[in-house]
Amino acid sequence: MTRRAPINKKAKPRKTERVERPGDGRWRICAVAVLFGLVWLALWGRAGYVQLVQGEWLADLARRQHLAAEFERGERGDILDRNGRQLARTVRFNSIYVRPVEVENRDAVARSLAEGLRKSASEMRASLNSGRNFVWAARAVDDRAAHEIAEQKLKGVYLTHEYGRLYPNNHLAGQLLGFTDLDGKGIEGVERSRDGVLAGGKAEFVVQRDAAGRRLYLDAEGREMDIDGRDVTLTIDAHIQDLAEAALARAVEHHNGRAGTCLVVDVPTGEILALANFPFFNPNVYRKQPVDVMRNRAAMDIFEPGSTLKPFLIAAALQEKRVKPESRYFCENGKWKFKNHVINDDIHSYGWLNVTEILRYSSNIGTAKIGLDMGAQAYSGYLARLGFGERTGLNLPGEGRGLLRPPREWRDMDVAAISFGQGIGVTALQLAKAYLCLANDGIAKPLRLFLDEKAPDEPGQRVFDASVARSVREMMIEVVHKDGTGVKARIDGMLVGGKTGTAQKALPGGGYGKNYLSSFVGFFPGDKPRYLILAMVDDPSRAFYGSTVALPVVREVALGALAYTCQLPVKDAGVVEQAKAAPAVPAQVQTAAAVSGSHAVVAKAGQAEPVAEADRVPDVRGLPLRKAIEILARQGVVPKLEGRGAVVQRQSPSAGDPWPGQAQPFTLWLKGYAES
Amino acid sequence: MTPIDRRLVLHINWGLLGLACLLYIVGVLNLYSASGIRLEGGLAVSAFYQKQLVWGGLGLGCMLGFMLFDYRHLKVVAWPLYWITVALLVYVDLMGKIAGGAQRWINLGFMNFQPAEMAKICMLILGARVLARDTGVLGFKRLGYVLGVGLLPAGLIILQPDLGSGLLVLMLLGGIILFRGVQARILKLAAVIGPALLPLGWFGLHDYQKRRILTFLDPTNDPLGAGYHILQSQIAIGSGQLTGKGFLAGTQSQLRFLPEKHTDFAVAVFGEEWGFLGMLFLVAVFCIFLYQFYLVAREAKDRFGAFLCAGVFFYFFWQILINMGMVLGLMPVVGIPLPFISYGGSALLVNFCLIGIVMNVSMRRFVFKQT
Repeated sequence: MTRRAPINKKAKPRKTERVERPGDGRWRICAVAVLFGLVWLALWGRAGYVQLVQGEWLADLARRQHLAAEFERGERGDILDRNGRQLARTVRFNSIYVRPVEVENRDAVARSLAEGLRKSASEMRASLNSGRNFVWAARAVDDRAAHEIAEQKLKGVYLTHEYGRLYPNNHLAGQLLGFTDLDGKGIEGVERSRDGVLAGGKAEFVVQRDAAGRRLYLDAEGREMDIDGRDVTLTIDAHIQDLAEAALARAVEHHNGRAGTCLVVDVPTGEILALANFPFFNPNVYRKQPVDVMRNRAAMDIFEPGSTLKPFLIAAALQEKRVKPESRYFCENGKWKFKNHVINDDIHSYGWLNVTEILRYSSNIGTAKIGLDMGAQAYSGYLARLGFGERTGLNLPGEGRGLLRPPREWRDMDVAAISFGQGIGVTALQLAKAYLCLANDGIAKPLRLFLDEKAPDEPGQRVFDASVARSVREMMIEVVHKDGTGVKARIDGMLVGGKTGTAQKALPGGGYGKNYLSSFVGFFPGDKPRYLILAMVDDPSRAFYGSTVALPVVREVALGALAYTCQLPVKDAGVVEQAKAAPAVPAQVQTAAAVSGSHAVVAKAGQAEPVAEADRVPDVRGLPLRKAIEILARQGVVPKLEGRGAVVQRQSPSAGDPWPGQAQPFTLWLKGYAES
Repeated sequence: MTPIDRRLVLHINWGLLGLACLLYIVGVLNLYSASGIRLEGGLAVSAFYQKQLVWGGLGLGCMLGFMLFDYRHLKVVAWPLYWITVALLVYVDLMGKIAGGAQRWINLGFMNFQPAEMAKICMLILGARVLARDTGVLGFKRLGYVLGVGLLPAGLIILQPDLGSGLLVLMLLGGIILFRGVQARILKLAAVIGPALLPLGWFGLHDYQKRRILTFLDPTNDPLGAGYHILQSQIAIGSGQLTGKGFLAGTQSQLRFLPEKHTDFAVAVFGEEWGFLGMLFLVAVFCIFLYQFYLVAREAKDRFGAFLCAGVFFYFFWQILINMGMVLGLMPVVGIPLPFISYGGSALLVNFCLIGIVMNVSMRRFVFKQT
C-alpha cells in the first residue's frame, strides 16, 4: 500500500531538514504497515479461533447455560370403586426449598422460615449453613403456611409443588390397589398393572433461562397437551369390600390364623365386588409395613383347595355321564387302602353313599372313587376348561398360574388325590372363577375387575350343561340345608349353596402336617345365585374346620351384601305372616335391609334377635327414644312424639294392649314434658 | 472563512463518508438487537438505538460543521480551546469530589456534556499544531514539552476517574508523535524505560483494575466475578460459529448473560448473531476505514493537516484494537468502546466531528495550489 511513500513530510530523518530519504521513509512506513497488518491478522485470527475452533464447544456452553430441559408430569389418574368412590387419588402439596447461596441474611431467613413453618430456628439455621446448594425447608406444607412464606418474598426461598398418592380409605383393598413409588410410578397391585392408564404423560419442554435464572416459556403450545392420566374404575364396591374385610379380620383374629382371603363376585357379570386380604396393608405408609402383608394373596398364593374342589369332580362326572346323582359308592367305612396309601374320611366314617351324599358329607373316599372311575384324561380336561393352571386374565402383578400337571403324569393315586382337592395348586381367584362357572349354569365366564374395560361380547365357553350345573348346585344347597358340612351357613328365608374345605397343608419336605387351610365357598341365593362368596383362613389354630372358621365369614358378608342391596329376606316365616296379618305393617318392613345402610345394623338384623311379643304392644317406657322408635318401627308404627328429651316417659297405648289400628295414634311422651 | 465552492464539493471524500455511514448503520442495527431483552411475551427492545440514531444525526451535522471552514483556522483556536477544556476538566474533578464520587459530565439541561470528549478534539488540534510548527527532529526538549501539554488534560481525566478516555488522549497524541517521527535514541530509550515503568504503573492502578488484569491472565480463577465478562463474551462470540445465530437471535445477549452488551461488549453481540463471516466483514470495513485516514494524511497539503489525520487514525485504531482485543479475549477488560458499534452518544458525536476534520483536510488538499 505504500509504493509512493514520500509524498509529504512524515518521514523526517534526523538533522537534515526536508531531506527526503526515500529508503528510510519507505522502511518505516513498511514497518508500520506490517505491524498494522499483523494487528489486523491477530484480530481476524483470534475471531477465527474463537468462532471456528472453539465455536462448537462455546456454543455448547451457551446452550447449557441458557437452555434447560423441563419436564412436566401429568397428574396420575384416580382409582375409583364401582360407585365412583375414590380408592386412590393424587394430591398436590406445597414444598418449600432454599438455595442457601442466594440467601443474603441466613439468620433472618432461618428465623422467618422457622416461624412460618413452626420449626426450630436453630435447626433451620443449621441446614441453611450446611453448605449444600439445595435444602428442603419443608415438604407437604399446608396452603396457608406456603402462602405466608411466599408473601414474604424471601430471597433464595422457593415454593414448588409435589404430587403424592393418597389412599383415603387406608387399608381398604390395600393389596389390590398396590402403591406407587415417590415418582408416581406404580409398583404393586392395580397401580402397577394399570400404570399405563393411570400414569400421566410426560411433556418435555426446552425452556430458556436468562442470566437471572428466570425461565422463559417461549413455546407455549406444548404445555397445553393433555398429559393427565386416566381414572380407573374397579368393579369393587367399597362397601362390600369393607364388609368382607371386617368379617375376615374378625375370623382370622378370632381363630388366631396367619392370614385370610375373601372374595365376593357378582355372579351374572363375573365382577369382583370385594377382594380382601388379611393382615391389612395400608398403602399410604407402605414403607413401614412388612413385605408379606403387601401380597395380594387372593391372586398370588397357591394352595391345595381340598374339599372345595369336589363339586367340580362331581360336575365333570355327571357331565361325562359316569355317574348320576343317585349312583352309590361304598365309602369303606372311613378308611381305604389304595395303592400303598390310606385315604381317610374325616370325623365320620360312611358306608354306602350316593353321589349327592358324597358331596354333602365331603367324603374323600367317595370322590376318589368317582375320580378313578372317570380317569385322569377326562377329569383334567374339565379342570383346565374351568381355568385351573392358567392365570385369570385380570392381569394383576404376580398372579399365580397354579399347578395343574398334565394328565399323562397323573398316577392313580394322583387322580384320587386331585379328586378331593390335593395334589393340585390353585389361587383363590381361580377357585372363584371355577365356581362362577357352576353358578352361571355351566358357562365359563371371566372374572372382571375393571368396570371401564369392555365386557367380552361372546358368551363364555360352556363347560357343563345347565342341568348338570343346576344339579351340582342343588347338591351344594343340600350341604347347607340338610345335615351337611355347611349347615351354619343357612340364612332364614333364602336358599344357600356352599361347600366347605379343610385342607391339610403340605409340609415343605412332603407329606401333610397339622396346619390347615379352612375355606368355604357359598352362593346366594342358592336357587338363582347372585353373589358368590369365598373365604379362606390360613393356618387357624383355635379351630380348623372350614365350617367353623371360614363359613361364618361368608355368611356375615352375604348378610351384609344382601342387606345393602335390599335382597335380604324377612327373618322368618312367622314374622312374614304376622306382617301380612297386621294391616298396619307397611310393606317396606318386609325386608329388613330397607332400613340398613351399614353392615353393622344388618349383621344385627341377621342374627336371630327375638322380637318381643309380636301381637302385643311392648313396653318402651324408660328406653332411649331411638331404641323405642326402632322397636316400634319393626311393627310398622311411627309414633307421635310429645315433649322434649331423649328418654320415653309414658306411652299410649300402654304395654300389653293389642296393636292399635292404622287410624289410631301411637304416642310417646318424653322426659321433660310438662303436663298441663 | 472561504465559502464552499463547487470544487470543494467535488473533492468531498465520498469513500470515507460512505464507510463512516456504513459503520454507523451497522452499529445502530446491532444496537437494536443488543438492547433487546427476551421476555415471556417476546422481545423487549429498549430505546438505546433510537438515542443512537438521534446522536448520529447530530454527529453528521457537526461533521458538516467541521467541513465548512478551512481546517487551518483550527490552529488559531487550538490554545484557547485547550485551556477552556482544562478548566472544565478541573471543574468536573472538583464537582466529583464534592458529589462524593466520579463525575464525568456537566449537566447542560438538555444533555450531559463530557469535557473528556471535548479534550480528545482539542488534543488532536493542539497536538497537530504543536508538532507541525517546527520541522526539526523531535528531541528530548520538544518531546517533553509536547508530552507535558498532553499529560495535563489526560491526568485530569484519569483523576475523574476515567482511565480509558485519559489513555485515549495520550494515545492520540502519541500516534501523531510516532507519525512525525522522533529521534531514534528516544525510541530506544522508551523501549528500555517503558517496560521498566510498567511495574510502577501497577501500583497506580485501582483494585478493580488490577483484578481485571489478573483475571485476564487467568479468566477461570473468578468465573462469576471479574472473569464473567471475559467468559461470557467468549461464549457469545464463539457460539456464533461460522454463520452466526441470525439477527435478533443472539441468546447470550437477549438472555442477559453478556454484560455491557450494548456498550463495551456490543461487538460480541454482532459476533454472536453474524458469526465469523460477520466478524471478517466488520474487521475488514474497519481496516478500509482506517486506510482512508492514511490516504488522506499522505495527500494532505501541509503537515498540520497530515498530523490531524494521523491523530484521528490512531484515535480510531487504538479503540478498535483495544475493544476488539478485549472482547476477543486478547486483552484485559478496559472500558473503551468500539467506535460506531458501542452505544454512547457523545462518543459518536466526537467520532463524527473527527471524521469531519479529516474530510475537511481531504477536500482541501488541492486548494492551496490555487492560492
